[in-house]
Amino acid sequence: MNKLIANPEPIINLVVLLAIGIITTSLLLLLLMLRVRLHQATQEDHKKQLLCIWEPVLAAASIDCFALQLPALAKKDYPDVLILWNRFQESLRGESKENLIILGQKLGIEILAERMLSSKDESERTIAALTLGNIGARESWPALEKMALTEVGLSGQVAARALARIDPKAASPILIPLFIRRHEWPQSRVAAILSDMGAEVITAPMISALLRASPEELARFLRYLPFAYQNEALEALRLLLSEHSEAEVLTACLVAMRNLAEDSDIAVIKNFLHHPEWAVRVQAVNTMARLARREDLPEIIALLSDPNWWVRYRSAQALAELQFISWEQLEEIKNQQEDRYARDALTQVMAEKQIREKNR
Amino acid sequence: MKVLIILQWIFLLYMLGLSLSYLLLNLISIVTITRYMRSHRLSDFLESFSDYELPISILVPAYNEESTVESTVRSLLQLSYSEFEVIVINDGSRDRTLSILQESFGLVKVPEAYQQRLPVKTIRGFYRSSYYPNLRVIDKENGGKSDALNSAINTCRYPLFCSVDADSILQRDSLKRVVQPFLENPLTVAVGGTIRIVNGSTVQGGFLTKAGLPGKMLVRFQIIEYLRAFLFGRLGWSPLNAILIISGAFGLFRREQVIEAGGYSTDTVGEDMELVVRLHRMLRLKGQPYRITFVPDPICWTEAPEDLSSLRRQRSRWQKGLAEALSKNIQLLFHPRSGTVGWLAFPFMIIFEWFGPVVEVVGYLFVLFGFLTGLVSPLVFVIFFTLALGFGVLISVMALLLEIISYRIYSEPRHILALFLAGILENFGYRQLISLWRLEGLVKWIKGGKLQWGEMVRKADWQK
Repeated sequence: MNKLIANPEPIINLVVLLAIGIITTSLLLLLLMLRVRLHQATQEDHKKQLLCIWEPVLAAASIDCFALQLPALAKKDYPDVLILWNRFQESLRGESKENLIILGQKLGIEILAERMLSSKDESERTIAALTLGNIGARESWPALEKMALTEVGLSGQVAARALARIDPKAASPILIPLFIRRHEWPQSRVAAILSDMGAEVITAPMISALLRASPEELARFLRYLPFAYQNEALEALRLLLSEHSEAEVLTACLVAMRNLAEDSDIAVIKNFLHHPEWAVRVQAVNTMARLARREDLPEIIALLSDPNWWVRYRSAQALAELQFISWEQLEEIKNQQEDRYARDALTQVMAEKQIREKNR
Repeated sequence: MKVLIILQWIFLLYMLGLSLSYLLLNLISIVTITRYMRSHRLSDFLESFSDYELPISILVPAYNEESTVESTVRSLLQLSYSEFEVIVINDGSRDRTLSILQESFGLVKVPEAYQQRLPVKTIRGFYRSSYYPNLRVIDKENGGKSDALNSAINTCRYPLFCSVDADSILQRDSLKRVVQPFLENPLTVAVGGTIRIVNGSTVQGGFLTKAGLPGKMLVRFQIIEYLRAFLFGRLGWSPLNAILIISGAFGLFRREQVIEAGGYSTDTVGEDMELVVRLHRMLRLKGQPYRITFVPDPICWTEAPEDLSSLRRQRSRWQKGLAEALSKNIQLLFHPRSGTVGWLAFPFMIIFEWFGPVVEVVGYLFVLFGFLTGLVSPLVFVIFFTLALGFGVLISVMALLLEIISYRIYSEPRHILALFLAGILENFGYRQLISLWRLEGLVKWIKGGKLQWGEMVRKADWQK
């Protein structure tokens, strides 16, 4: 040590301690890793065995659940069997589903799920809500409703779906306003729940909620309108278009209207072709692509020279999609354009159309 | 003498600081990944309406990629996602990249009007596939990777774009996984995915069918580095909304925000990191709420260099890119509105990543010099080296532990032991070499110089 640089002890002591600590921790972690892996492997094997026993049981139960002898089920295996039971439920329809519910009752999974619903662990609550929804457990409605209304993550979404499965009619006045508020829930999942509930149940509460929604909520929620009855949806859209001036709302209304609008709506839609916001003009011209008549052509052609690229491109697409315009007429329209941007947009769309038709 | 003592304390404090930061990041990662694994185990129970997924443009910049471009594009076209387009950008390749694409996908030259919202080099032509309506090719003058990506951003049709390297291998459900944060949080502007090393694995029909360990120790060292970088380097920063790097090999961005930020910077080699740091800067300083996040599932596989010269070029380039990204956005550092990015992630990057190679190389030289001149006794030399080694191993073991509790790609005990061994051996020469090459990158950054595509010798022998 006397060779060391001046007064080295404190630093050396610290370094030695650190080195010993770090190396010991590394070795302990290696042992922990191997142990964790061993534990995982044992668990995986056990799970495989469990599935080997229970998959055939559930498959047989979905056909006939009465003549079945149930294998013994340890308490620790309940969550895995519960997940398996739910997987079967999700993939089956009709009588098979009912049979599985009877099997579930024999196994006492409803009681277990109800208990799990108050667990602190979110994944346990989620499995519980999933199960109760699939069983159709009306007694759990208040707890599921509370969960749907208060939990923002996956558990809340699963609880919402459970309510929709148990009683879609009673669920819709609760869920639709909730869906409007929960902008963080993935739209694709909300759409799946709404589609599951059916137009008969959701149309009235959806339209009443839309008419009361803020412009921000409207812009988002209008995407779900196709799940409602068409006539009612169209009426609501007409009303919203006449009452709102916010660009986001108008854009969303025009998107929703694309497949619903009728000839009588042309005049209103044409007004939006001149809207100061390009996003509104784009959606208006998209809707016109299905409805436009010969007399509407000048206004669509005028949009070929719009300052916004998307408006020019969609106008060109709208023209190319119109059944009553032939290829030669498209060429003629293109040649008549004095604006280079208008010609470019049509040239591109015509080339795309040509490739599409060649491949047909 | 005093100088030496000060230097000793600097190195020790540096090492302590680095260890503590990594430990903290590791703890955050363990919590995050455990939560993620739990919630995603159940999320597939909820059906999704695919019409409501956001459409994505996949951008594939290609420069002299004749050996891999066809298989990459074929596998991209088979991705499982409701609506997406693939745009390959041939950045003035000198090989047969364009002609291979033309022959393989029946490309037809089309006139295309587009809005040039980002300035780019001259475009020679637009092509469309006659077989796949969602495949387009841009042929342009050579301008570098950033310029190639910017030209595709100008012409892409969808609100989200995904940049993918021409040699990347995605999982079939990669887009579904990486888009999730955009669906779950509308404030999301960018998402990075985990990149894993494909060497040693089996790839069939453009998709990875079996993950495996490569025989070469050089690649195993890189596997350990990737585990460290992605499993806690990125995952640790993600809950703090302070990720500064999204790999160019696979990242998903909101197009409008990227255009607003000015697109990829064409005067840096680390365009991927620079864009992310710039997005943070723009949005933080504007006070606009946003999320830049990370998806830990292994969703993209890439080939690691198997020879020292390719590795040297890669690491030197990465370091230069990092220095450029940080120096260009230095305004973020301790800015009152910069939050966790400016007050935590940015200083961390500056101290441990930007200046890291300088401290490490000087540290090695200092100890060696002291040892040779007798100023440092053999005992101290051994203790310091053991400390550095122990620390290196500890970080690697932690990354391995995260891997084991999450995705278990390398799950067999022999894999774990092999990687543990690699985690030890990398400290004997490999780490020092990497530090030296990173220092070289810093020197290149100081000198400046012309930008070029990063070229690497590709073996692609995992491909069947």
